[in-house]
Amino acid sequence: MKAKRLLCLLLAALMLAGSCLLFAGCGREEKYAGALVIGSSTLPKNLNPYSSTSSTFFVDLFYDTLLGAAATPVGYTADPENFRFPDGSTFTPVDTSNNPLAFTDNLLSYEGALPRPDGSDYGYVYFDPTEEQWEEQCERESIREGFDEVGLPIEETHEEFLARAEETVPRENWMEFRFAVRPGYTWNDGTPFTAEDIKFTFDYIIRHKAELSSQAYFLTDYYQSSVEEDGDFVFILASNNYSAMKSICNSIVILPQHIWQTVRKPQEEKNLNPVGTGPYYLKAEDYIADSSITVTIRDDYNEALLREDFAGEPVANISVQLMSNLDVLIQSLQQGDIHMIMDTIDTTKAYQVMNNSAYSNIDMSSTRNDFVTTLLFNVGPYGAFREGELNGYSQQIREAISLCIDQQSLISEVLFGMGTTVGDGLVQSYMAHALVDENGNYVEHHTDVAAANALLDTTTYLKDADGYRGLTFTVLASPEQETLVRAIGNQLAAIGIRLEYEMATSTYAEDIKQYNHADFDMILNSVTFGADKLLMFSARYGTYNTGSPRVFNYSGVIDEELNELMLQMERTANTQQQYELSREVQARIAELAVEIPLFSQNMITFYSDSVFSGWIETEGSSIWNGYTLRYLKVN
Amino acid sequence: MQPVLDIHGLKVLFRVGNTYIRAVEGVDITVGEGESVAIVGESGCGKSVTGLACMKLLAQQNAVYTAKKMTLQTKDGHVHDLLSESENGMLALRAEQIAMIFQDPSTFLNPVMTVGEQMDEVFLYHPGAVTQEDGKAAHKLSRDEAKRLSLEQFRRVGIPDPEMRYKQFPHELSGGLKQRILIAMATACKPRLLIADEPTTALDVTIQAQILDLITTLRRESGMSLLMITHDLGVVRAVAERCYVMYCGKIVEHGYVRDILEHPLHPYTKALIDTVPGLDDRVERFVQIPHNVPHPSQKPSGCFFSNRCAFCTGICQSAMPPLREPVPGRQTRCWFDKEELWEK
Amino acid sequence: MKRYYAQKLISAVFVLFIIITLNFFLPRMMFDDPAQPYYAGVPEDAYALRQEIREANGFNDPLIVQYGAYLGRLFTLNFGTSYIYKEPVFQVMFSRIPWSLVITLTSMVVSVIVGILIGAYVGKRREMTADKVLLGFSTVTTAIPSFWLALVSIMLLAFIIPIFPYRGAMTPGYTLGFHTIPFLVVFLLFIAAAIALRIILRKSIFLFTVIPAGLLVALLVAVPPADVLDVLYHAALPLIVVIFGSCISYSLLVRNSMIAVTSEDYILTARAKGLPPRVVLYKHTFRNALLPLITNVGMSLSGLIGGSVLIEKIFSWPGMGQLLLEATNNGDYLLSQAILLLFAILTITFNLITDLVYHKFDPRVTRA
Repeated sequence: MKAKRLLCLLLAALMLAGSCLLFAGCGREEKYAGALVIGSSTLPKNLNPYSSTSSTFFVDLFYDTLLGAAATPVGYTADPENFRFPDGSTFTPVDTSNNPLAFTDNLLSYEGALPRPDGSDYGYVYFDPTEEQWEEQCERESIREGFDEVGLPIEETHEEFLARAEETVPRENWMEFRFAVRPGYTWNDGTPFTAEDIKFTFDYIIRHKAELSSQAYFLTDYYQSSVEEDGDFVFILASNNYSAMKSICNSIVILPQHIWQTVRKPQEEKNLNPVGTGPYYLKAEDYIADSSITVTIRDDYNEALLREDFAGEPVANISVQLMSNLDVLIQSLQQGDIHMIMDTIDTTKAYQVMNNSAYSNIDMSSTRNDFVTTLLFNVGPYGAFREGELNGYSQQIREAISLCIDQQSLISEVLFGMGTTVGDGLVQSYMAHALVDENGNYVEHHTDVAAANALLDTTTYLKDADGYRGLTFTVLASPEQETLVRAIGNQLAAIGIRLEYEMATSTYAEDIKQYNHADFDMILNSVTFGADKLLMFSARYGTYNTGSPRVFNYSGVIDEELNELMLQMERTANTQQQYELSREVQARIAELAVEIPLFSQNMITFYSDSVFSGWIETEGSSIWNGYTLRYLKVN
Repeated sequence: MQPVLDIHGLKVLFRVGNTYIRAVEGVDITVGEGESVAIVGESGCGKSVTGLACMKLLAQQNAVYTAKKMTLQTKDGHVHDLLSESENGMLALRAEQIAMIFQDPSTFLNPVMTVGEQMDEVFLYHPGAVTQEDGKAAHKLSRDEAKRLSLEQFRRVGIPDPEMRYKQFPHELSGGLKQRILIAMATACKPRLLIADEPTTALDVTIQAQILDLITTLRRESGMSLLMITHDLGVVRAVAERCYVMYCGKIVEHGYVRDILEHPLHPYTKALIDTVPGLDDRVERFVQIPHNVPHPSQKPSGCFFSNRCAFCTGICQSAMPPLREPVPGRQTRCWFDKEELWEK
Repeated sequence: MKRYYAQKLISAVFVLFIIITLNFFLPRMMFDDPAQPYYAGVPEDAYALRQEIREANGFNDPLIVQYGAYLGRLFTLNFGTSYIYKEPVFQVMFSRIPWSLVITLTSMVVSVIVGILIGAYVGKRREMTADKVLLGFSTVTTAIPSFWLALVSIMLLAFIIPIFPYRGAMTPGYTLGFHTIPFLVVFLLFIAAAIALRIILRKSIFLFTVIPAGLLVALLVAVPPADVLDVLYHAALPLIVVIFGSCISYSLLVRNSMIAVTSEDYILTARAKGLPPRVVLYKHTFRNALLPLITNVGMSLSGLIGGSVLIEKIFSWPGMGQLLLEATNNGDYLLSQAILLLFAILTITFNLITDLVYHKFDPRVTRA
């Protein structure tokens, strides 16, 4: 009996082993051998460049923006001395003494895209509310009684706006831009690319502004466009906002007229056969839903990518494959089955992988993210730190807090910190004045608890027997930032200030309510720093140059000087000038708000250099960006 | 004459953990041809175990049988030694030569099979017991033949409307009907010996009478011997010719039913008879036997009945009395004779 | 007995009706504006457009009219358009169901069969060693989370010893070819044969065995063999992981049941009738011991479609579980709502079927 049983077991084991070996040989030919394989935990379900559920990664592969490949700037009129195009070029201004208002007959009165009277600060492209709608909006966003969301008294704003919307006042500020279309340029289905396509795109966006609100936002000041006889494309911006120009040139993807003129609902368009001017195109059989998307390079790839200097073998196919699990992705990368992971990696995992010698063939790119987590003070009309509150010592208390926070220890306590040294993707906090010094270096931060205590001792808030100064502040932050708040609180205990954590809600509407009620004293939020960007979300500091009604002013600072500076920043296209202005803006904000930048989360991506090279790191993005796309080649 | 069932010195031990429990300690039973014998005793005295041991149905892992002799005479006159019989041999003997019916027909019938199907099984797996038209034993029966035989058998045991009953499930039948079916299954192959383990205990008194009547009829028709295991003296009187009284795994009295019931020799037997109230008596309190039946692992030393016996003396507590035959044809396991006892 | 069937059917229909109605009210309970799922992609301030959408989808009609329209849409299987897929919801779900079934159905069938074999073996023998081994395995598989086991198996069998692939249902770039006509022809032939056999031989067992067999054969005919092998190759590892866990639990169930039934009285009767041990085992013991297993399997049938979310996520298997996860993560309310409704309907249906079928196995239930 026992022998029979053993025999059975042996047989079963043999069968199992045999079937395993059989499976080993069951693998199929790899269809995309030699392709650049990118693993991703999500795959876009549609390739519509204007859909929110699409992927910028693929948009870059298939489409170009106005300045990407399609057109070169030819001329402009407005402010010749200071204006520079995004690529730094300047051109001889073309005489355009004709007043745009001569085109009044052709005035395309899109609802909201109105010519803006001088000084008008309301660029509502698509919001032209009736009284009921306005009231409903105020109600929904629980505007505090008497003030609207930008901090102005309600009645005044409302009427003024409605009145302004109906007037047509001759403007003084406008800009006209002229672009020449590259000759012989084609869409990837062979149709020639013309200025008609550009005009079609702009008009299409405006026509569907309700659905394509983020693109329409860039065209807030868009007045009209036309195709000249010589094939040039000309459009007019009804403002002197140069930064809008930048966005238009770099963000608006040009759509082919012959394909998209029949698309009635851009948000519902799947666009699985993307016809674009980009360097790659998609064959129908290479789109396998929820499995892989593989693109093929165009024959005229060099022209498509504008790279006359390219030497080497281009990447013929790029295959993005779905792998839902991060551990599997990392292992796959290590094994060489894939060459890059499209997902961003969190610092903990990155730390583990980088310190593990088994994964030494994985390269890591860690670029500084645009957004810096910053501790901001509520200096608004209802915040604890507003002028005159805290016995008039608001400024001192803010400065003291700023002196007391030790970023280094915060980082090691709270984050594992991919950047362990200053400058490694981290922004130092600063005391009061400039973000960067003359050399463009970040100003060192010196923690000085003694000085902070000394400063506070000059106020009426003195330490009692427990060391507490009777100052307690609430910090509004998201749930994952609770640890950070507690860590900051620990540090502030050294100067006798107590910090309490209040959880920010997760829905947008609730956020508005919370921010506008201003029941908090400090907030942890992400802001963008950078000389080449408009600092922060300008509306937060109460400027009027907002393009969207979806703004909230949780600090409620209304400062003329600040507004002026920020407007100036918008109106210059000169990068150097913007940079200088930004320092002044920061200084002014610091005076008003004293915010303390804490850290920026780096964007960490994994890739491998073994088969393909040309990966280029840029700030604020993963290793996959426009530059990498341009220089990627086979080893 | 060769008895149908001849058992000498049967001992059955159950292994529980490290120890053994003696369920049956040296039992001698004989059942002659056509005879009806009863085994009487309270619950736990080992009578059911004795019955199961005859059929070798006890769980093989736990039970150990030993006996000096245990034989069964089959219909063809051949005497089988049940002790050394293999399981395969037993399969052939069961139902064809020796059959058993049980106490609670509700739990002893398979609830997911129709009673007809369960009846058919007996015929299908014992085709040799069925005589065909040509007088020879069958080799294999078809389903239809088995069905026909089953229906016939149902009629024989007095089940009304057998065609309908055939398709029904056990839970759809009454207790009496179910017991009839069990009897039908047991007697289908006309066995030599039927062992009935308290077949009427779970039934109403009127049904009880019917069942006993049925058993008697069947016995008369086929000359089947009966070993009735019961605790009910009324049943014994109705059905049995001879009777064994068992207590704690040992036979304490043996004789003809008439004699035992009128003149019991053993105190236990007397006590059993006394505890049954007559219908005419009006009593203030029922007669009881003091204490309880001892657990098989805690049998008293000396005579097993010593702690409950009204006539217990010193010798009873120190030594187990042997089975004596004070009167021919009657045996008792007591140190004293009847006259001595009843004088006290 | 007809009353029993009717009762079960009516109560199931009633519960179904309640669930459908609750599903109708779900968006009204979740959002202030019940048309919210239809606004996907449209920003908050585009009032006019939102109004249009409301109007077009009938949200300004009285509630009863909306309800009627909702029921009508359900019957035409119109669940709306998925926000992330930009396709009709039903189409998205329908394409995923077969992939889910490959894993869940196969694993259920195999683990039930293997479970019965192992459980019967252990339950019959009552040996200490076999018992201990089974109980040990059972503790281990219950304690180990399935996703951990999946990850470890990927590590061992896909990376360290590269036998199996670790992602997806097919090699990247290939899709499942499907020839509809041969499929239909073969399947219909089998159905006809099953019906014929049922009529001629008068046993319904043919319907239940021949039709599934026919489905399998038709599928094998319709799909090119290279694709079939590819899918099997990719399904091997997920199947191993899933089967390992469930077959042990089924074995334990069968083993316990066997032990319980073997000590029942009617087994004694069967033995007393002189039936051969094999007959006692299969006809008497098994028939009763497998009853709890049937109930268990019936309950787990409803998990056939969406039950293995974790496994699907780890193996990137394109099934319904992963679909629900994606829909929830990306705020595609219409899709997730439809999937949940499907789950509810399937649960009720399978419970009903189990109830009805169970009666065939255990005739006692009509009483209850």
